[in-house]
This record gives sequence, structure tokens and C-alpha cells, in this order.
Amino acid sequence: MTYLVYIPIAIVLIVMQTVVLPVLFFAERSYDLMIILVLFLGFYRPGTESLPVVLVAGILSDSFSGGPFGLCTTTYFWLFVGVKMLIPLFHADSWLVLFVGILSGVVLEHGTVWLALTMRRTPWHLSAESFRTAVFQIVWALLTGPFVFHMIKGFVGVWDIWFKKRFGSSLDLDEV
Amino acid sequence: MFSKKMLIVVVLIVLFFFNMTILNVTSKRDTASPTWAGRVFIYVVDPFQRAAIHSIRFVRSIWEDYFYLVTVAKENKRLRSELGRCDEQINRYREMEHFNTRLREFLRFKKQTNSEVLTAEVISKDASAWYKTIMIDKGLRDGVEKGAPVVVPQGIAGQVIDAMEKTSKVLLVIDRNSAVDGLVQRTRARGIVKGDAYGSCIFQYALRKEDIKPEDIIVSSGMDGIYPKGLRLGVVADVQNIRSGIFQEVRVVPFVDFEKLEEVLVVMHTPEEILEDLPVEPAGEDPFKR
Repeated sequence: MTYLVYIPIAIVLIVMQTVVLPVLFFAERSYDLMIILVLFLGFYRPGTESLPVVLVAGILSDSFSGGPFGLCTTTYFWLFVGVKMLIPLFHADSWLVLFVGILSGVVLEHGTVWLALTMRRTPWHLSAESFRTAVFQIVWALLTGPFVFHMIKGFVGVWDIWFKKRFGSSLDLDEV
Repeated sequence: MFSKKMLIVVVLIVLFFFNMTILNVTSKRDTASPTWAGRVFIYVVDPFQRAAIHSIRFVRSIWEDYFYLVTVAKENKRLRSELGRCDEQINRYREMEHFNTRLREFLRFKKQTNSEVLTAEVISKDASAWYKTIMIDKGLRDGVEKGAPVVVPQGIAGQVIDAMEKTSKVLLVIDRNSAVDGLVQRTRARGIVKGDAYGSCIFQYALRKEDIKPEDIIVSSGMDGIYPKGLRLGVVADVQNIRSGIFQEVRVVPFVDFEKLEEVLVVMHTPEEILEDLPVEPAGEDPFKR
């Protein structure tokens, strides 16, 4: 049942990513919103519960991506693993940790793209435009990512309350 | 044998290499075709994407249409204003064209006359409906004298009856107080052209024996000492031979359209001279065809 809450979130994020942002604002400079969901799962949800969601989110993003299949899954998986390994050392509610997590996620995705391009042996170099795009994505992610993160957290919290009233158990957001 | 942490590290290392291998394989594919799982996800998410894009487009179309309408309204207002200005400008150009045409006729007329003439603009018309006078913008300081004949290329307009410093009053030939010595151009029959105050003239004192027919042209005789000889006055509209009288009654329609009089020529010197080469045919519209 817990997946019922993540699937709508993932769908909303992918719709936002693929439809709303390109139509209303910008597409090429928008960061991957799914990174925020992965961070949330890494911060607050147990690994056994989150890992399938992370993999599904990765496949979902890969399905709507023109890049090599598995690129997003790789990013999310290793981001999730990294967060899971490091989060016991920090406080999950810290804004600084959240900023670092968002920054790491965006940078990791760029790194994975670079890795994929290198594997393909595509002639590629860091152009000024790609650098600007990366910087813009990082700044934009740092500015808006925390809001998306807390929206997800709020939505899951509401779901938790409703679920607890309805079925007598909760998702327990404090569980890590 | 292995601790839990060591096991996790080993698993992660294996996973990493496995992941890199998979990524390496997929990276070298030309197309990024999704797996069956990807297709399922696309199938699931597709309705949401469609709903989202349609909603966004719907809202955006309403929003844009609203602004479009506002823009159109503003543009419409601007274009109307511009159209008004263009109409005004076109009107001004038409006026200039007409003015130019009239001036050309005046110039041609000037060249045909031996007398010195002064161009004057009509600035007002008689305030009374019973009298037919106009005010022109030339007066004593321009050399205009009382009694000076006033003509237009179409024919005689009248004579100056009062000259002031800057303006002059002109008695038109259609005024009942006006009298011009005239003759029938074809038969040289003499008479006096008097105004009837209804926009036309009467050719008086023409003897019954004279041959006068409709469409005969009446010109000035020059015998009154005011108007130069040979200037056109009007065309005979109809002739009535009264059995008991010695004169016939001839109605004359002036060549000059006094309703449209805007510029006139004031003949500066007493017209003893004879106008040469005056056109026989009316320069303007045929009064009968109006």
C-alpha cells in the first residue's frame, strides 16, 4: 500500500518534468525532479521499501528520456545508496544536508551522462553552453528543490495521517 | 566469515560493475528504446501527460485569447485612429489636388487675358439668402478697386462693390442688383444679363427679332465699361417670345457654379482690352448636365 503514495508522486513529477515545465518555463535547463523524490526516500524511508520505488522511478524516467536506458536508474540508485550510507551520520531535517543532497544528485546525474557519453565514445567536450546549463540546473535545483522536497514530505505526511486513520498504521516518516 | 558491512560493500561493488556493464551496453545502442517495463510506464503515464498538456493548453489558450483580445482591441483603436488620420490626410491631398486643378485653370486663364489679374480667395458668402455677394481676401492694399470685375476660368463671377483694406465685397452676377452688358456669341444679339436671385440670370432687352436659341452662349460685350469683352457669362436655357412685347425673355444658366466658388480672379485694370483666344466651349461642367 505504501507504493500507492509514491506512484502518484512519481507520475506527477514526471508529468511536471515532461509536460508542465517545458510548456510553461524551460525544458533543457530544468533539473530532474525525480532526484528530489529519491532524496526524500533516502532520507526518510527504509531501504527495502524505497529501493523498488527508486528503481521504478529510474525506469520511468529512462522511459521518457532520449538517453541510454538505465542512465536515470543508475543515477537514482547510486544517489539513493549514497544517501542511505551517509544519512546516519547527519541530521535528515538539516537544510544544509538537503542542499548538499540536491547538489550531489544533480552533479551525479551530470556525471552519469558524461560517463555514458564517454562509454559511447561520442566526441564530447564541455562547451560553454553545457557548462551554463549545468550551473543553471544546479542553481535552479538549489532554489526550488527544497520546496519540492517539502511538498513531497507534506503530501506523504497527509497520506500517512489518512492511512493511519483508515487502516490503523502509518508510514512513520521518522523511520530511517 | 564476512561481516554485514563487508557483505554490503561487496554487493555494492558487484552492483556497480553490473550497472556499468549494463550502462555500457545501452550507451552503445543507437536508439534509446525503452524496455517492456518502460513501455508499461509510458502507457500508464501517457493519459496523465495528455491530461496535463490539454489542461495547460486550454488554460493557456484562454489566457492568450484574453490578451489577444485586449491586444486586438488596442490595435483596433490604434488602427482606427490611424485610419482617421489617413482619411484626413487623403482629404487634404484631394483638396490640394482640386486646388491645384483650379490654380492651373486660373493660370491658363491668366495667360489668355491681356489684363492683369489678382487671385483672391473667397472667405465668406452673403449672410442673407436674398442677396448674392461674397467676401474675398484681397482689398485696397492689394490694389483691388471698387468696380473691378471678378472672373473665374468658367466665366464672369461678378464685380467688386466695396473694397476695404484687406477684403473686398463682390456682387455676383446672379444677384438681382447685378447687370452685365452681354451678347449672344453666335448671333451677336445684345442684351443685359441680370441676376434673378435663384442661381440663374435673365438676358433682358433682347429684341424679339433676334435669333436666340437654347444652348447659345452669352458673353460679355465690354460695352458696360466694367467687364472685359468676350468673357463668358452663361448658356441660354430657354427662350420665351412674348407676343405683345418687343423683347424676348431669355433665361440664362451661368457657367460659374457659385455654390462652389472658392478662388476668383480680380481684373485689376479697366477692361477696355479685349480678351483673346477665350475658349468657346465651357471649361467647367456643362450647366445643363448638372
